[in-house]
Amino acid sequence: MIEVTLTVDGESVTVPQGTTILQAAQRISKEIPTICYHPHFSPPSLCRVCVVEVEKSRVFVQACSRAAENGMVVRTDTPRVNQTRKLLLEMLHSAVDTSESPDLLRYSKKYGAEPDRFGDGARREFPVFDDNPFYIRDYSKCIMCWRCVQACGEDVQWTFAIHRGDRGFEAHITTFDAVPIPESTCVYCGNCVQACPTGALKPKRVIWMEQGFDLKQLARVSQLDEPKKRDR
Amino acid sequence: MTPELTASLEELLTAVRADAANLPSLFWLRAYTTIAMERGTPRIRWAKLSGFVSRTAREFGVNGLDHAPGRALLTDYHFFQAVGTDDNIVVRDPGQMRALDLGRSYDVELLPDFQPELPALALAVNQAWDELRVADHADGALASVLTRWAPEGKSGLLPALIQAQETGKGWLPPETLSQIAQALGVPLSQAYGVATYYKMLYTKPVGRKLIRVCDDVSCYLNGSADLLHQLGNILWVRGGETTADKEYTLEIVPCLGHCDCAPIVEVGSTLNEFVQDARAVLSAPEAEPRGIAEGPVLLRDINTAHLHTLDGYLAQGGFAALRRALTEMTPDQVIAEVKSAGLVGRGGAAFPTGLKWELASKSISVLRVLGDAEKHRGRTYGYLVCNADESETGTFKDRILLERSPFRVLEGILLAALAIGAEYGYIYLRGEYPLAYHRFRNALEQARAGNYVGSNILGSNFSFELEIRRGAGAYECGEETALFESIEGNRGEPRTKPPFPTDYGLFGKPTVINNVETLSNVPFIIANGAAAYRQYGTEKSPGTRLVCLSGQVQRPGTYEIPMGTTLRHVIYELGGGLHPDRSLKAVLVGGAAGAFLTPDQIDVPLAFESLNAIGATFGSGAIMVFDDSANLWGVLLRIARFFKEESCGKCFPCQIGTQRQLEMIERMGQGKARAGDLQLLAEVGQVMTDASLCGLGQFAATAIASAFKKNLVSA
Repeated sequence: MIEVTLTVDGESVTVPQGTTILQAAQRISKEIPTICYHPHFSPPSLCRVCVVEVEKSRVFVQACSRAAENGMVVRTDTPRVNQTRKLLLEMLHSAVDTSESPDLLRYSKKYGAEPDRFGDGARREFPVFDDNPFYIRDYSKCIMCWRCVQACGEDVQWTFAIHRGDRGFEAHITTFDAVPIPESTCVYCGNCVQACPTGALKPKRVIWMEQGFDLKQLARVSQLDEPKKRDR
Repeated sequence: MTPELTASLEELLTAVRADAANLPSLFWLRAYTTIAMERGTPRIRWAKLSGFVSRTAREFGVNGLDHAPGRALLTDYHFFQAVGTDDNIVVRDPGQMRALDLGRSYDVELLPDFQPELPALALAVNQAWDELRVADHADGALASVLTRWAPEGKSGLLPALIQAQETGKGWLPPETLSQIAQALGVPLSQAYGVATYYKMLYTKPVGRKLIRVCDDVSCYLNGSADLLHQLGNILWVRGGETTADKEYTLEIVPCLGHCDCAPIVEVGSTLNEFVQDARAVLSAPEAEPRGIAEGPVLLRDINTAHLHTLDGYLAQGGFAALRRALTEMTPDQVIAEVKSAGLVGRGGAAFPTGLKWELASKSISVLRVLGDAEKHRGRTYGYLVCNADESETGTFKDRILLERSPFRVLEGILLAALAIGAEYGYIYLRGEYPLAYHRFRNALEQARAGNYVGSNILGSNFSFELEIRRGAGAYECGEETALFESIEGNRGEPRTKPPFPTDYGLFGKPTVINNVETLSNVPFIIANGAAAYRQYGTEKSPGTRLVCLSGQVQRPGTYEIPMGTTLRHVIYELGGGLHPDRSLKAVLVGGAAGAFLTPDQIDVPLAFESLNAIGATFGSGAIMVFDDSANLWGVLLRIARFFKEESCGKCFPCQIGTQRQLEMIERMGQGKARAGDLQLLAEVGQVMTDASLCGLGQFAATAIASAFKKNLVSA
């Protein structure tokens, strides 16, 4: 097995070739923040929050997908890198409802992000899509991390019910021709809901719990509605 | 009708009944008889016929833009003879017809024996047309789209969408999208995601004709506001809206790459230049393109030597370099010559061309050793891609090269492919350049007929096939990895680098991607040697380069300058200086992704080393001039808006940063800057520069930052 040795924040670490900078840092218990990265999906490297400074590199480098190289000198918490993370978090808060993203809120504390810096710029505002029995889509909370598309697509389920539509700031997640979920190829596997880091995708049962319904009551009511099922 | 004419017609109709793909030939014949009857003469200029066909074909669901059916009508059936308009030579032998250079000017006319029967023929053709045209034209057109592109799979998605839209209803209804997706094996949601990514694809109905008015920097400085006002009065719609009679949809668009002829209005696929009267533009389409283009090597005799025709190109020494490379040099020697010349990329990144070729050649050699199974789709071990997606604000040089000397671009492509060992390539051509598409496509067909492209080129064992792919309105698709994604049938979203294209590029194969101008330089280097190339320019910046001068100058245009020529010389000597009684305020070098220079800086020699020394770069070669009357806030607003509209939306810094940058520039331009805005703007700019995934985001704040730094505006 070929190994490479690199330095992360002055500390040396040796890893198998092909290990990413993020994984190498994790080995020596250095936390590098991530948002779009998920250990089960191929990293899209788009949130840019995990960028680090690498000596001799003109640009910042994303730790989640860049392979560690022999002799690499990595700094994960320089002022410029921390400033980048702070701004990214502030921009997210300014555009999206981040109230139910525990990671974003935790990082914001750590990097001193001020949520109101951008005042009243354009925000992602969508009506809540409640079109199927299992989960809702609240894209006002969507940060476009791609995880749901990956889960529905080639990283997990190969169902391809959803994809990205339009582009730029207006890019959003959509079904084919924006049809309701029951008219798409969705098989209600729940992988996208599980992967969503911001609560944009939520199981209906969680919504009902939040609204104070007693789930056992609800179940009883639905059983009374359809007695034939119980007689089987 | 005489038995002979009846037989000719019957031959055509039999072919149409056998295969609906032959329908366009009948359509061309119908077009011919219609015009001939209207004008009372059997002799029709080929270009007029082409124009008529392309204007009316869409109504009938026929891809009339395809030259092949028209050509087939001349070569495969017995109706016509062709007469050269400059030499009056008559061609009627089928073999000669096949070799006709349709880039030259021809009249077509019925064979003399048939001419007295024109009225009878017209009647018969119209009856046949009514009987044979597909009942639902859109279905027939869609069928040929699916037949053409299904074998490509997902990679055929964008071309299929473009063609289906053109030959169908002008937009893409869900049923059409669904049929294309199914035929190509692409998931429905992905096909929809691709269709909604490109601005020239419409998933909602649009008017029969699209009117695109450019409101980007140069057109803005040259009267686009007045044109929009005029059009608003005539059409009574605003940007994005469709007239009540569904005839026109008005779009306000970013740079169309015709800044040398600003202001521009595009109606359908006709570009109207130097427009003063919007109403005239709606009724009468534009004549020949007029932009100025002057220079000693790439632009030598470009307006007089008919370099878009094979004869013209050969007369100027065309393909001599290819012959030399095939017979006297090895591929490695070709690479060495280009390295020695010191040619660097002309798209903006200025990467050494020879080095790029060398890296790819090595990667391809490795795959070749591993054997045939490593070929992609049995075509090639690695790809040559020509980036013709020129979309940087203020840039039009590649368009000039493609329109006026497409054969030279092609020869450059062939030499590059030969050097690296590629047997298949693509040219990705911006969707907003219809004339460039037709001229290049014509040149490619000619070249194929002349054995310059295809198997065993000029009798050698070098084989190369080239495919043209059109873009559909996305600046980001000029970014090399986003371009690969687009050809592969995905949204034009960039990849991370490393890996770099010479290792992992198009379809994951080693790829060289070069700019149009870069490739256009190669024939000269190979035919005349590196030393001849180096006689121009400076030690560190050898050769010539094309600059695109526009904005508030007397003679906007494309100028080929030896590297080291001063900016002052370009503006005042070549460009004729400013308008009377105006003084210079600033110059934007490198387009929207560039930087402002001030009047005290215009003696800078235009070469990489001297520009770097003052913190500037060539970028795409765009040079936009602003005089004291220019409203620079309007300019900054358009720069900010450009990046916001073109951002692909993948990475956070650019997706949100370009939006916030635009909002702040809007506020500041209106005099409503808030406390802390300047600081916030700088910070957003810094995040985009430091952390964006690709060059679009990395350079989105550069011009704006330079404007503030040089006190050209104050908040």
